[in-house]
Amino acid sequence: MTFLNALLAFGAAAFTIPLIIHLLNRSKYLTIDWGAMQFLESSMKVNARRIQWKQLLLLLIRCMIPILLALAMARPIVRAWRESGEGNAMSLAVVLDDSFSMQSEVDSNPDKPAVNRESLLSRATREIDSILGQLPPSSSICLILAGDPIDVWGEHRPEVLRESVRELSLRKASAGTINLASAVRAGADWLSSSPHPKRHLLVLSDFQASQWDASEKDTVKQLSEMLVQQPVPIQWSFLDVANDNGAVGATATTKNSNAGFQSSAPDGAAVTGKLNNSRIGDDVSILSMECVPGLLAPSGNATISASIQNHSKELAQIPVVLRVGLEEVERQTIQIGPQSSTNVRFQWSPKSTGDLEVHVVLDTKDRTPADNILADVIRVREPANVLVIDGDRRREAMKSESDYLRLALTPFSLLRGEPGDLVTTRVVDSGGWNEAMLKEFQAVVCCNIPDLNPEQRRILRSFADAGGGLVICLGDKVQTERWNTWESVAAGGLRPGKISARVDWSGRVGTTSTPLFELSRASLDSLETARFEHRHTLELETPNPWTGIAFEDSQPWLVAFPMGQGRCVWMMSSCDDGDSNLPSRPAYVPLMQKLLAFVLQTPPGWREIVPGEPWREEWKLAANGANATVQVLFPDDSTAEVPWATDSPGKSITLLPSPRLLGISRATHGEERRSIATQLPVALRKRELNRERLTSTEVEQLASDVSATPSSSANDWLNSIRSSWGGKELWTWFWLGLLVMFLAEMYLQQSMNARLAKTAHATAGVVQSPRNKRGAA
Amino acid sequence: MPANLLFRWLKPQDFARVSQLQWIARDVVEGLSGGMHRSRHIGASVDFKEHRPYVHGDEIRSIDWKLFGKTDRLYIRQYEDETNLRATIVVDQSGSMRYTGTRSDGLSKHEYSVRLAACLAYLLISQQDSVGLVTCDTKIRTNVPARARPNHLRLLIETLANSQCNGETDLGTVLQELLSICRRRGHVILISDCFGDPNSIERSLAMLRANYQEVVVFQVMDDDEVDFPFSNRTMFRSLEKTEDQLLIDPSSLRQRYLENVKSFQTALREGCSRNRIDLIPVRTSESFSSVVANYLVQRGRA
Repeated sequence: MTFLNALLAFGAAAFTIPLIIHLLNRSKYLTIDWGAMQFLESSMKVNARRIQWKQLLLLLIRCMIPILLALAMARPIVRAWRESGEGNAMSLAVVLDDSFSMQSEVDSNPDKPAVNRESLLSRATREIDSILGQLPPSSSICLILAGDPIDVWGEHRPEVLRESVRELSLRKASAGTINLASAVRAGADWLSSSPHPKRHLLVLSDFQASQWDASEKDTVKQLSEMLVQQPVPIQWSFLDVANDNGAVGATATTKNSNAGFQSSAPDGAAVTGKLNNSRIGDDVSILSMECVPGLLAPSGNATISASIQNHSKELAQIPVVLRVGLEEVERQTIQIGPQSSTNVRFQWSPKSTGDLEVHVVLDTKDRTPADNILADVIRVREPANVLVIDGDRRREAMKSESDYLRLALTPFSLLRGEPGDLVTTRVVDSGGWNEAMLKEFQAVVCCNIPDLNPEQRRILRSFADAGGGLVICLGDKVQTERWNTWESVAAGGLRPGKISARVDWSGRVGTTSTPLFELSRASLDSLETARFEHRHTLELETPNPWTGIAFEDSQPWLVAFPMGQGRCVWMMSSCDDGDSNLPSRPAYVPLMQKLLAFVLQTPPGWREIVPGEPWREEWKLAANGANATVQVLFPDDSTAEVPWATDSPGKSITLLPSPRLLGISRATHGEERRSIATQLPVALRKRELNRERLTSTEVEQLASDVSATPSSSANDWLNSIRSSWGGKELWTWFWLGLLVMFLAEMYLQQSMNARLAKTAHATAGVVQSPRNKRGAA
Repeated sequence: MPANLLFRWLKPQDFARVSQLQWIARDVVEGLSGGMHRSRHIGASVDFKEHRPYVHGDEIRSIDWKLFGKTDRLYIRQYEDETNLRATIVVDQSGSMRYTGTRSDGLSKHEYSVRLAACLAYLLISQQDSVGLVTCDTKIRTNVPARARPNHLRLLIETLANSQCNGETDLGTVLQELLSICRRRGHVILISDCFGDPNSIERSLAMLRANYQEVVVFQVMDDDEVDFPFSNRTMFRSLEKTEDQLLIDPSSLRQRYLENVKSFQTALREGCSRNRIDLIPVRTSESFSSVVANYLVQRGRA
């Protein structure tokens, strides 16, 4: 047991005050010459003993009051939570930085065998494990992986979470940069509804300078204010897992090496911080990677480019490997100058159809092996048949509405006469098609058709419902007043909303890219240069948020939505150069191909999501009952079994609330197989470039600036928590005891006074009664 | 009339109030001179009482011859004879009577008793009754025989004024000694706090009653002695035995003390009531003239 305010414990000596008062009172007395001694003497004999113990009890209580007061104010606590049973349960949100830099190794000694090296993430999980092991069992813990996108591992008891954390330590880093703001907000949200009044948020990070230095400090300060302004203020702490102090005891080997180092350096923290920076040396990483195109035919050609950074101050010669699936396809050796980056490019042609993970791997052993590999997904498909219904078909070359579209969709066959196109097209007039024809096609593109009769609309709708893709481009021939009489999507039609007449409008498309029409960086840049002169506007009727691309004034341009089992895209401009100069832009070809790829949606069971987006599947439960599970295979070859909630058979199941690993994940349930490809949009493809870390002193400075408690290890943090919040709060019992003592003192005092007053009254009545009688008479 | 002495002891309002009162004895008391009190002796007097038939042995001169002339029967004519009351005031001057309380207007119990005695003496002498005075502690200290002369009041008051409180109390013995002084029928007025053994006091009072004395006890106590209001730690020094002292916490003893006082009062009251003695508890905070007045009103109605 210890005292938080040990000095106040000396206040217990105040118990002597009642004793002194008692003794002083004994030496001070009145003297009265008294006649009625005979009554006093007989009283003495009877009362002496009874009065004495009551007086003693009162004295004891009065002595206990200052003792208890002093002890309560000194706040005694039992230090070990475990020893004190349940202790004081707390709610703890652990924000774990699992960005790429956390894959750096704790010990930078290059001589050590790679197998013995421990990553910062691994060390962080070990620290978390240590904390979880020492927290009171009834505490609630929420683990938030702070890498972008964040991943919240809901409320758990420490014991439950320990298992998960041990698995986490084996996991490879999958996230990009740390998204501290989202993670801390998620932690604060969780804590605000937590069951315990003691709420703490612990941030474990390597404190990279680029994310924590002066430019980001304002963000951190805002977060700090946000935490303080919570209804129940949340304390937060920083645990710097990259400092070498904390590494002591991590493993036997690191302990020895660090112990020697520290003994020679009095200010170990500051020196080790510099050491980290100077040894950042042999570190290279892949900054970004692109596969163009992402969808191609078996005879097509894909270009895979990767940007590689050398963080060290030396020239690096690095073998770069292209891996498709598990097979090494190509190996190049590149030279990168100190602290510079370069691009490496691979050409690859698929031989068979299917979905493939493409990895670019740096075949080198450096301090952050996690960022030496980057994955993307390439889908290889057999060419699909597309019917193009042209409402403005002409004999002259490049005058028809669909000419540019055909060029964009089949560039190889039309321009070079080579195979490799994703689709084959057939163009017909507005009336030149029927229901029977559609069976040969997987997608239909309507270009600038004046109107569709009800039968045609029904045919197209049922085509889409059956899984076909539908692209509808507007144009100058469109009779909007008639189009607006079409059935809406909700009513079994095609029209997503009210379409305005074609108007003059000068502008561009917005720059926001959506993962549905994932375009390369170059294509996005090119798309922004497209100028529009005319357009239609769309007033969406469906309450669902639309996805697609908007004009720069936020009016929808490309609107994508599911229609039955198929997909539909509306384009609010023409697909030729009538409304814009888009066909002359380089982005036109990939955009149109992406559109088709989106609506083609092959094969069934294939989906693409961005990291952080929940992976939900609608599956019918197999016949084998309540214990059904779904097997999930993740891109890093790890597996999981997701139990099926028994109360929702046939409903959607969330296989992964927040997928983070890029690549293809596969889920199997009975005979059914589903896959997702987790891909980052180009705009979000950032990786940590700067590996400079804050020194320990800088972390402490930062912590003091944002009212956080700095810690160097789990035990350090636990000690700080214990000293601020105590283990078993004995002092509350002292307050209770104090209250009891006060009540007892008041009761004793009052009872004695009351008895005296009662007897006095009674006696006075007896003595005075004769006189009163006389008075009455 | 020793007006100066009298005024020293009696306040004008007491003086006026007492002089309006008349001392009426309940029973006929034997007296030397005719007074306001009825005598048991029937003799030649002016107040006719009754006729009764003559029996053998009656004095011939008491026969009412006029009635014999009218009725031809012998009747005896009886008259009431008025006598003077013979009262002895016994004032306790033991040490315990020296106690002066905080609420008694600065009067000790003895001073109060002396005033009460003076008051009674003046009243009795003013109605031509004989008044004697006895002061006592463990035994009788002074004895002023009963006289009815107005000048006698001066002697009584001087004796009272010179009395000193000293020593212990032994009221039982004193009252037995009193038997030798009060041989004739009369009144004994005892003014004392009656501290001591209540049984012994009762016994002595019973003997007085048996000796044809009507006894009135004014038990004088201070308010402090009745309700024991002390709370601070106090040294109580005995007024009777100087070596006797107690250092106590009064609040702790208070209840028991009050019980003791109560049981003592009860014992005394019951003892008096058994012997048809009037016990009048008096507090020194009360006006003594009103005490006397109330007592006399009560007696007059009895």
